[in-house]
Amino acid sequence: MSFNSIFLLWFLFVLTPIILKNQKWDPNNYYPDFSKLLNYIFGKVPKIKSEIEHIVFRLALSFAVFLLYLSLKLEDSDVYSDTFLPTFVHLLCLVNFAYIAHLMSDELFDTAWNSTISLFSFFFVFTLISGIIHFVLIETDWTIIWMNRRTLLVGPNFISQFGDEIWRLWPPFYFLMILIGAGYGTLGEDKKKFIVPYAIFSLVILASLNYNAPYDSESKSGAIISGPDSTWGTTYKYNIFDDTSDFPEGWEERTFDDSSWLSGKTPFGNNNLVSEEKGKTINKRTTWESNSTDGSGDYLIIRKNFTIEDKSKILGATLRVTYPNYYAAYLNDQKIGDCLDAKSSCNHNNPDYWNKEVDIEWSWLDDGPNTLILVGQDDLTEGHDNITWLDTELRLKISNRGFDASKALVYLSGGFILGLVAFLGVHNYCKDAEEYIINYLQTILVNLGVISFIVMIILLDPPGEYEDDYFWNSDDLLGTGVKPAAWGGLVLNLIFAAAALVVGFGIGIALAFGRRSNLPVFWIPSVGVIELIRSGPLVAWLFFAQILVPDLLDPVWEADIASRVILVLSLFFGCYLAEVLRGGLQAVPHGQYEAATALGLSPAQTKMQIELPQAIRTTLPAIVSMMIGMLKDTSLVFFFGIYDAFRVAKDLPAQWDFIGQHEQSLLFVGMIFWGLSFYLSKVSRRIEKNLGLTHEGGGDVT
Amino acid sequence: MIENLALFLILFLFIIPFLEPYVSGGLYSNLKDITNYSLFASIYYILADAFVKGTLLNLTPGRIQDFSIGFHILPEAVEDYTFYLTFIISIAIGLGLFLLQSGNITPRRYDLAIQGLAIFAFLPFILYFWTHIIYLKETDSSWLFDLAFMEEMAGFTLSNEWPFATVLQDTRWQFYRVGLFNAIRVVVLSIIGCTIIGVIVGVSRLSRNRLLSGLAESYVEFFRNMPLVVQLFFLYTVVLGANLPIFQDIQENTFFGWVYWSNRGIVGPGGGIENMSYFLAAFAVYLGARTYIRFSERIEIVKPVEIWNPILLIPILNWWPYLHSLFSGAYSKGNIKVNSKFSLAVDILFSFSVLIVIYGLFNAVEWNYKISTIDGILENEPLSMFKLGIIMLILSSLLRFKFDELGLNNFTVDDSKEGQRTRSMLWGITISFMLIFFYLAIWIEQPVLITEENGNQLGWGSWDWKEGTTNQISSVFLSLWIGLTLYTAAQIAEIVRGSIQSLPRGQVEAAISLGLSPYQRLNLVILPQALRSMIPSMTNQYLNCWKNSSLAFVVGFSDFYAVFSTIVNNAGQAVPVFMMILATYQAGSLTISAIMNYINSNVTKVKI
Repeated sequence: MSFNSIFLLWFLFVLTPIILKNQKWDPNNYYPDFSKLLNYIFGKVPKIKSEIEHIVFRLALSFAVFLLYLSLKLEDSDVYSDTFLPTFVHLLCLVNFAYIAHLMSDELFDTAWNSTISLFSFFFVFTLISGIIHFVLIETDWTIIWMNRRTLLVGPNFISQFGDEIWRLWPPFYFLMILIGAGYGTLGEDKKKFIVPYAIFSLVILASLNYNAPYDSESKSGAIISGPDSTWGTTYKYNIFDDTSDFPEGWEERTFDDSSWLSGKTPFGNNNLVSEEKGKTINKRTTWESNSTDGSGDYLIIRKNFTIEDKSKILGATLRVTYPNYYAAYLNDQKIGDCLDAKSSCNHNNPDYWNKEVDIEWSWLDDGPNTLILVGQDDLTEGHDNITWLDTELRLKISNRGFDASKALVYLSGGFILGLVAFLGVHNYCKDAEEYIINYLQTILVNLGVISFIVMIILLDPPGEYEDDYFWNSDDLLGTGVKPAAWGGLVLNLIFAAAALVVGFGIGIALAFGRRSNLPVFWIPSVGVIELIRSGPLVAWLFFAQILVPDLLDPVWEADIASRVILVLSLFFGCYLAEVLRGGLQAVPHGQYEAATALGLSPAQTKMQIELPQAIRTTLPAIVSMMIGMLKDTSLVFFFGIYDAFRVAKDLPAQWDFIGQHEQSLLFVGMIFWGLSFYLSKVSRRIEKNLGLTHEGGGDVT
Repeated sequence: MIENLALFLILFLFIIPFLEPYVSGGLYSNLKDITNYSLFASIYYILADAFVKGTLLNLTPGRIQDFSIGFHILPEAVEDYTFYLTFIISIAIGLGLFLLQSGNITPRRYDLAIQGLAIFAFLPFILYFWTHIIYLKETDSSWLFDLAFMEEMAGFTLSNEWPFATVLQDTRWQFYRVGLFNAIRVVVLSIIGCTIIGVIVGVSRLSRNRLLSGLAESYVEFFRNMPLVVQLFFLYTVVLGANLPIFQDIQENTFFGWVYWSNRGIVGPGGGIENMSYFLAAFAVYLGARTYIRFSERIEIVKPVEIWNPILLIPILNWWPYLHSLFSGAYSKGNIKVNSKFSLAVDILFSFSVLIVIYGLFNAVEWNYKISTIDGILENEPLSMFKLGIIMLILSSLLRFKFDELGLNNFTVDDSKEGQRTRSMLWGITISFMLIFFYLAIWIEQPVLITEENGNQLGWGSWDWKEGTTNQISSVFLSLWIGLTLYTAAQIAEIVRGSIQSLPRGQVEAAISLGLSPYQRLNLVILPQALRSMIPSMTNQYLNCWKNSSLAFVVGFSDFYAVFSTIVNNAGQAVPVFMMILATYQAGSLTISAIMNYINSNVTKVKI
C-alpha cells in the first residue's frame, strides 16, 4: 500500500467523477465514484442485520489487522518472502479493509471532500498500524525488557547478591490487591465489569512472570560486584617462602591444608599483625623482611577459599590484582594468569589501584568450594625492610535475571485470588446495602489504605541506623531494610505519586480555604505560597529539594532524597490543587454556607462537611487529570540519581548485551506510564458521567 | 522524645474533659474524635518539638554571630527548654482550639482569636526558619544573597548560542542571556506550532468522518498520557538520534545540495543580509503602503467634545479641542469632527519604530559586543537605539490600541470593481518592490562541506562545514521543539474540542440551515465563538509550555535552567541562582499572561 496507489485511487474515483460531472460529460453518473465502486464490489455480499452489524464490523476489523500482521510476518520469514504468498495475504487484507469501508460507506465516502479525507487518513492509519505491528511484533527483540522486568518494576537495589529484598514488597502487594478489590466492590457495579479486566490483567502478569525469553548470551552486565570490604583488603591466608624449594607439597591443590598459615587482610599484613614465621618477620602493613641468604627469589603465597552455591547464576568473573612485581594466579589447580612486568607504585592512593585484570572463564569455576591462589615474587634484601603491596579482588558476576519464578508465581496468584475474594465479598455485602453503609465502608477503606501505606514504608525501611553508605548491608540484612534512596522502578513512581497525592491533598485543602479566607493571617501566606510554588516549574522545585532543603532542615530532620522529593511533589501538587479547589469552592452556592451556619455548624464543620465535598464533586475531573499529571511528573526524579522506572529504562541500554536498544526500553516504560494514565483518565470520565458533569453540545464539524 | 509525647498526650486527653462543663457541646463525642484529636496533637507536637529544638540550637552561643538579643541559651539547657516550650505551646493551642470549638464567642472575636492562635501555632516554624536562614547566610556561602558571582567568568562553554556568541572569558550574565534567549526561542516556536497543530487536531476530533476523528483522538491520547520526559528523551535518542542517518553519510542526504540532514541536525544554506538599507527599504515599502491604505480608507468620525477630550493623551488639557479644531476645521455645537491626521501620525510612528526594531534585531550581535580598547576585554554596550525602538514600538502600539478603542481607526473598504483594482495594483507594486529590495539585500550560499585538507582526505570525524556557508539547526533544538510542540498540541486539541462542544448545538444547526459550507461554518460561526472560552485554558497551556521548557536539560539543550544548573556547580551559590530561576520563570509567565489577557479582552469585547 503505497502513497502512489492511494493517490491513483483518489484520482480515478474521487477527482475524475467530479470533473466528469461538472463538465456534463457524464450526466447520468455512469462513472463510479468511490462509494459506488465499493457497492459494485461488495453489493452482492448479503446484507447483515443491523443488530449484529457492529459485531461484524469488529470481526472484519480484527481479521484485517490479523491479515496485515500475517502478511508482514510472511514477508519477513525466510521461506515465504520470495513467493507470492505475502502479496496475496496483503491483498486479502486490503480487500478486508475495503469491505469495512463499504460497511461505513455512508459516513466515509458520501461527499468528495469526505472521500478525500477518508482515503488519505486511511493511508496514514494503515501505514501507522503496519509500522506498529512490524515494530512491535516482528522487528523488535524485547529480550531487554524480559530480562530486566524485575529491575523495571522494583529497581536494581531490591535484587542483590546478598539476598532478595523482594519479600518486603509482597505484603504491600497483598494490601493493594485487597484494597482494589474491596474498593471496586463498594461501587456496586456489574460483576463482569470488574472480573473480566481483572482476570485478563492477572493472567497477563502471571504469564509474563513465568515467561523466559530465549537468552543464551554470555552476559557481562547486570553484574553484582563482590568488592573489597569496607576496610582495606579482603581476608586471605598467606605465607612467605625463601625460594621455590620451600613450597609445600600440593600447594596448588584445593585440598591443601593451609591451617598453619597466617590469615589477614590484603594489602599484605594489613591488620597490624606482628608475627614470627619461619624466621621471617611480618611487620605492620606493607613491611616485609626476608632472611634469605642470596637476597633473591623470595615468594609470597596467598590463598582464598570461597564457595559458589549455584554456578548457573554466575555469568563470569574477573580477578584483579595489584602487585609491583612478578606474580602468577591459580584457580582450582590451574594457572589462570601471570604478570612479568614490574609495576611501580602500588598503594591505595594510586588512582590505577588495580594494575592487572584477568578474565576468568566460566568453566574454571566449580560448584561448591573453589580456591584462588596468588604467588608473588620479590627480591628482598637481607636485614632490610621491604615494602610491597599485594591486593586482589575477585569479582563474580552473578545473574540477577533468570530467577525461579515458581515461588513468586504462588505469591502472585495468592494476591490476585485475595483481591478477587475481597471484591466478591464486598460486592455481595454492598449489593443490597444502604448507601450510608457503603459510604462508611469506603471511609474505612481509605483509612486502611493510608495505614497500609505507612506499614509498607516501615516494612520497606524499618527505622534504624545504617552502618555505611552502601544501599544494602550484608551483615545485618533483616534489620536494615532498603533505604528510600535505593528504592526504584515503577513501584517507586507509584509510592511517590501516592504519597504526594495524600500529603498534597491535605496541603491543597488547607491552602484553598486559606486563600478564600477573609482573615489576613490565613490568606496572605496562602497566596504567597501558592504563587511562589506555581511560579516555577517542577524541575526547579526538585532542584530546591536536592540542594537547598537539606540546608534548611539540617538540625531538624535529616531527610533523605526520597522524602524530600515527596515533600516537594506534594507541595507542588497541593498548590495546583488549591487553585482548582478554589474554583470549586467559589461555585458552591452561598446558600449552602448560610444554611450550614443557621444549623449551628461550626466554621470548621461548614468547611469540611458542606463546602469541601461539593467543591470536590464539581472539580473531580480536573483533580483526576492533575493526579495523572503528577504520576507522569514522578518520572522527573531520575535527575537525582533515583532509580525510578524512567531512569532504569534510560540505563538499561548501557548493558553489554543490549547496547543502544533505547527504542525498546523507552517505549516500554513510556507505554507503562501511558497505560496507567489512560486508565485513570477513563475512570475519571466514567466518574464524570456518573456524577452528571458532562455537557453534551457542539456539533459535527467536518 | 517518645516519653515526652506520651506525657503530653495523656495530659491533653485527660485535662480537656475537665473543662467540659465550661463549654457547650462536647469535644469527645465518640472514639473517632479522640483518635483524630490525639493524632493531630501528636503530629503537631512532634513537629513543634523538632522546630523548637532547632530554633533554640540556633540561639546557642557560637551559632549566629551577628545576633544581639541580649541572651544566649546554653547548649546543655536546650533539651529542657525544648520540652517545656513545646509542651506549653501545644497545650495552649489545644486548649485554645477547644475553647474556640465551644462556640461561646462572637464571630468577630472568633476571627481575632483564631488568627492569634494560628500565629502562635506557626511561631516555632517561623522562628526556626528566620534564625536558621540568618545562620545559613553567615556560615554557608551558597546562601549569600549576592549577585557578584554573575560578573565573574563563567568557565564553561555552550553549544547552542545563536545569535549571541560566547567565549570562555564571558561573564555569567552573558551565559544567562544566551540561555534565556534559547528558552524564549524554543517556547515561542513551540507555542506557534502547538496552536496550529492543536486547532487542526481538535477540530478533526469532532469530524463526522470516523477515520479522521479516530486518528486525531489517538494522537491526543498518545501524546497526552505519555510523560514529556520520556517523549523528549525518545525523540532525542531514537527518532533524531538513531533513526536519522549518521553524519558520515551526510553527503548522500541532501536536498539538491542546499539542505543536508544527519543525526547532528539540519544544515541549511548560509545566508544573511548584505545591504541593510535595502533590507530596511523592503519593510519601509510595505509599511508605507500599509500606512497610505489605512489613511485613505479611514472614516472620519464626529465625536462630542466631552467624551473624547479627557481620554486622549493629556487629560488636564481643556484647550485640546480648540487646538484640535485648528487641524480639523470643524467645530460646532460641542461636536468635533476628528480628522485622521493624528492617526496617520501614530501609524507613521509605529512604522518607524518597527523599522528601528528590525534593524536592532538583525544587528543585536554587533551592538551587543565591543572589545574595549583599554584592556582588551569584551564588554557589553547598551543597546540604546534598540531600546529606543522598543519603547517607541510599545508607545505607538498603546496609542493605536487607544485609538482603536476611541473608534479613530474605523475603516471603509471600497468593494467596487474600481476600488479592488486600485488596491490590488497597489499591493502588487508594493510586493514586487519588496521582492526586489529583498533580492538586493540578501546573500545566500550553498553549504560547503570540507572533507579534505591540503589534498588529504579527512576522516569523517573531522569534517566540518565551511565557515559562513551554513545555517544549522541542531538536533537537540529540534527534539526539544518537536517534543514540546507535540505534547502541548495534544492538550490544546482537547481544549479546542471542549470549547467547541460547549457551544450550544443551535449555533451549528443555524449555520447549517443558513446554507453555510462546512468550512464557513467552522470559520465564521464555530471557531470565533469557541475562541472566547478557549483562550483562558490556552493561556494555561502556554504557561505550561514555558515551564516545561525547563526539561531542555534532558536533551542537552542549553536553556537558562541548564545554564544555571552548571553555574550552581561551578559557582556554588545555589540560593541566588534558584531565586533567579524562579524570577525568570515568573517574568516569562507574567509576559505570556499579559499578552493572552490582551488577546482575551479583544476577543471578548463583543458581548453575545
